[in-house]
Amino acid sequence: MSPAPDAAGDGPPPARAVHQFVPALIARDATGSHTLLLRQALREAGWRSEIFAEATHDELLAETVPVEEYPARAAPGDVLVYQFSTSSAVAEFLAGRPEPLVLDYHNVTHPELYGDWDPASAARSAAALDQLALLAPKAALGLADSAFNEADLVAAGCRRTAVVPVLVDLDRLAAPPDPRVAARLRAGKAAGGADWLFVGRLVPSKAQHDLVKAVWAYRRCYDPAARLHLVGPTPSRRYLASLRGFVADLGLSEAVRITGEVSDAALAAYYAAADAYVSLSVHEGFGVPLLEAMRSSVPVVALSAGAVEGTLGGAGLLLGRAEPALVAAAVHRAVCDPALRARLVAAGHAQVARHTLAGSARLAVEAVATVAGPPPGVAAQPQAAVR
Amino acid sequence: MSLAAEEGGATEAADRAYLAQVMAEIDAEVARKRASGDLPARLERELDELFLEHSPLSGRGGGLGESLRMVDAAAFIDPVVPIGSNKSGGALVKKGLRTLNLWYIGYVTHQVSQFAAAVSRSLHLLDDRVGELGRQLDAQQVAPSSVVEAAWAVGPDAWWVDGAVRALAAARGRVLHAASGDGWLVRRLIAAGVDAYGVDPRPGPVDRGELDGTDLREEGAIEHLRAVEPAALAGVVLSGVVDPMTHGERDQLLGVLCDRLAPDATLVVHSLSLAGWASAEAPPEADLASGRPLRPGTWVHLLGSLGFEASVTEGPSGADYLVTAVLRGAPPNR
Amino acid sequence: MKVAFCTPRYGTAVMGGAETAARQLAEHLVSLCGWEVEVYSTCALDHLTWENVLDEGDGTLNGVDVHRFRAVGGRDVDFYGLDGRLRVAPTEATRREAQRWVDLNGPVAPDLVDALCETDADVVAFYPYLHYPTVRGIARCPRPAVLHPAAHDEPALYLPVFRGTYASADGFCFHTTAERRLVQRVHPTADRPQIVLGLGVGASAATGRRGGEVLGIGERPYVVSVGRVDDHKGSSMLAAFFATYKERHPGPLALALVGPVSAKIPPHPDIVLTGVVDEPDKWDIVRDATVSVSPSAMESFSLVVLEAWVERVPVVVNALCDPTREHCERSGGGLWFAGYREFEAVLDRLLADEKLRRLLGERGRAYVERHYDWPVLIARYARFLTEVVGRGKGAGGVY
Repeated sequence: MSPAPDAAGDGPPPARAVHQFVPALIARDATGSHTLLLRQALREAGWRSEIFAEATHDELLAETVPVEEYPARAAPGDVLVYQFSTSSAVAEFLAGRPEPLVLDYHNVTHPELYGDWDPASAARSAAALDQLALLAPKAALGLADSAFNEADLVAAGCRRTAVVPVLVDLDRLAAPPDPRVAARLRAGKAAGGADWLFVGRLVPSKAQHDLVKAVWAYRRCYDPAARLHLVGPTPSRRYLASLRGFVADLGLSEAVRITGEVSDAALAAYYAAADAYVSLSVHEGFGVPLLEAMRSSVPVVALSAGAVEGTLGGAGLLLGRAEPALVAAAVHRAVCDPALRARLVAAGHAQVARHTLAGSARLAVEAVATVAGPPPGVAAQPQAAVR
Repeated sequence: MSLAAEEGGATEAADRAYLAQVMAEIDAEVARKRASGDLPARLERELDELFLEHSPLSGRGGGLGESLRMVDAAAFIDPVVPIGSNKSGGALVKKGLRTLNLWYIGYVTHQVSQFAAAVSRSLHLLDDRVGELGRQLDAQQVAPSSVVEAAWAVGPDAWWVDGAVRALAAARGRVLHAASGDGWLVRRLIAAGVDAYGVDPRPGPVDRGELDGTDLREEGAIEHLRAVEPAALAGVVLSGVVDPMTHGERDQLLGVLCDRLAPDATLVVHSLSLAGWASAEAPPEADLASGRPLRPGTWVHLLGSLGFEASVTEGPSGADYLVTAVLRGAPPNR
Repeated sequence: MKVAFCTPRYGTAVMGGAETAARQLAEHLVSLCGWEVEVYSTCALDHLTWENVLDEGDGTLNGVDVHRFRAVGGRDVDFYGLDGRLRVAPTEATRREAQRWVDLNGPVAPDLVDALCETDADVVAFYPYLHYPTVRGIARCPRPAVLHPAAHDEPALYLPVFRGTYASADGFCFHTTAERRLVQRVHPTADRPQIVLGLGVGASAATGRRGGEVLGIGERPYVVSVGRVDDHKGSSMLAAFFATYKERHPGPLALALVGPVSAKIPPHPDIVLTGVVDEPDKWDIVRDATVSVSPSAMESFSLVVLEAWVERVPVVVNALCDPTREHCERSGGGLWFAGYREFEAVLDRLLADEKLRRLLGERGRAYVERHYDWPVLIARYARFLTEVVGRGKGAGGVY
């Protein structure tokens, strides 16, 4: 699919700086964390590295520089990395720059998946795909965090691609869980019933409504006291309203909890209390919460869609359909069968171990080095296999 | 994505086999639940239906319409005043006031929302016009063609009418004739037991024809077909309509036609031949039209690529011909 | 043949275009075709409150059997909030919200729907589209259904709940081709059997008195405009145009505004406001008018224009009003104006050219006889209903 790598050593002099560009740096967001962690990895490798952003979350203002300031700071040999997940003027800006471009692609949800819920986002997503088609052929290298995403890059015309996992610091979940949240969840548990958990933005493509249907079926057939926790920001008011109406209609207002965005400590509490992590999302570019669940020893039941299968690596129950009866039966099995649960948890730990931050960071640096040359102040390293 | 999980290949295979076993057991469990009545498939469908009730369902197409809906949504003012109150009893008082005021507030916001609705309606009109322009551009920036009929080629005594009626006799459902003129073919089809109706953009013939109750409408073929439900028609007869069409228009017509025909529907096309088009007996509109007729072989080829089985019968004078086609499979590029 | 009508209000005291039209169709089917006709309606007279005023139960009115049911729900306080929101973005409504809108719009009469489903009529005519009895009735009733939408370009037309209503109809009956085009744009129903029927016009009730005498203006020639004297109906515009015309063309010409007065028209020596008059007076006035003007941009059909043509009076209409303009174009019995200059030019020409006036009047009269004479119209309608019955009940709506 992608041509063989260049012979080591030939080409322009090694770059001194590898800068990142991002439309918006958002706190507690997979792309945001990845960007910050990548900057750390690039700096540790010896490059100068800044994050240039069009918009920045208040908490992270100190971490970024406005995109407009780049032309004044540009130095010969700079290599630019664009964190691509949505449409933005930054893409147009970069298309006009001469510096070599590395496209770090985090997947664009296709417009159809927004349907009638969110026409504004659908329009933005369509624009993003246009920008991908604009940038991909120009990029010296395309990075994707899964083979699933890599296919999009190749289809868009990217000539060299590599798969580098998302940089995520799973150790943030090792922090002490929020005591209030933990206490509330414990009290719920004491009354009986299993706790289902899903972490992700409340949008139709993540199919929280299918989770509601499944937990309804589960309560009907197996465990009348089961609870469903939906953790994550709620950017779509319409979907939130519809979901609430649906939950109320089913009489599940006490059983289904929509938490909104929560702190890392609260998130740790939810993972600690979960009996099963269930995902019926129809679109995942990577699925960081799947790794987080496996790290927290929670068995995973998931619809096979997008990169889910790749991220799980065989460490979860994969479903072909999101039918409520099937999901309920699968979760029941994962929760109540000790042998299965033990094997899933063990496989999950093994999968997480293959996905360390250090390992992913090294891969990222190696991939960038194929464009930027060996990092400064470090002896020439053997080129990593670039597919 | 896991990084090269080469190690423990044997363990992996065992794990996979185990999980496959578990999934099979789960599937069996599901089948049991469904059969026992604990969770019949019907209930799952009802869950789906229930969620659909809470979902937005739009009647319009996308495109510019999507951003217009943002305007729509932004223009509304909610007259319901929040009634939460910190003081006990406060909420109750507020609710009473709210009920009294609501009629008035409702009236005011009704008026403002009317204004906003007028603005958004203007934008929708604009959307429609832009859409129409787009369609015309598709048809190569040419005004839609009108009906071009050779008087000798149409009418109940024309050579091809029996063949057309025969081809449509078995149609189960409604059959459309465009351009129907005063309904001469529609009546003939009805007499043969076919549920037929017609469209024609020329007002005179329609007016004359519909007085006896024949279902004739004054509109163009493409315009009409766009407003038909998909797969709703059992047959279509085209006469005087396709000959003057430009390529773009013809593509538009065939595209929408394929979508509106039911499986196994019959399409009959009467066309002048190139010789007939150029002959002295052709109507003057033939000279003025932007398009010209196709050759019979071209129709067979064109319809074939759309999933039809087509055959051609040449007219006795060589000045026209009849194409008869049946829609068999789903065409490859629909 | 037996026909059932389903309409939210019914009766001689009902003020509403669609309901009045339904009653006239029902009564003429009885009197001209000898068919059996029954009506399912509510006890309400007011379409805003749906207050139950008339008696519940069965009765007869002009040969038609009428079954009245109580309306359980009226316009609720919540209606305005929901209506306002849906009005602005009707296509964004969820099905649940749209159904709730139908319920709140009323009249909620479940007993009516239940009874309608038991009818032994050969076909049921629903009139108009947007009320609860139609929406629920057409979805459940096992008989072939004909829908008279009486639709305007209003936000409600775009609510998703009506897609099912339109899809459940086995045939459509429209007032004008403009209405049909509008409905087709929004709901894909073009292949269903349909008819553009309009409304019937009765014979003239003129008594032979001179119009000028009825108006109290003696021998002076005059222009007439019949209908509610209202800003929405263009009466103020017409009065202003006429006043300007008189300044530029002094003469004996007068303007008669015939109908209930809701707007303030500045007093003018040549403008006569008659207020409400009875039918014979109205016809007498129309008959002797030189020209009949319909200034309204918001007519859905306009019996007024047709009535003028019954008396062979030429007609002038607002060019922006599709239905009346359509009448003029199809009949060749009227002219139109889109501004003062055109108004002046048209009026000048008509006043000066008697031959033209006669020609327009004759053409208009022929048009009315051909399409809107009650016997002709009812015959078309009856034939249409028979064909719908012959086809049988279709697959029905999606939801």
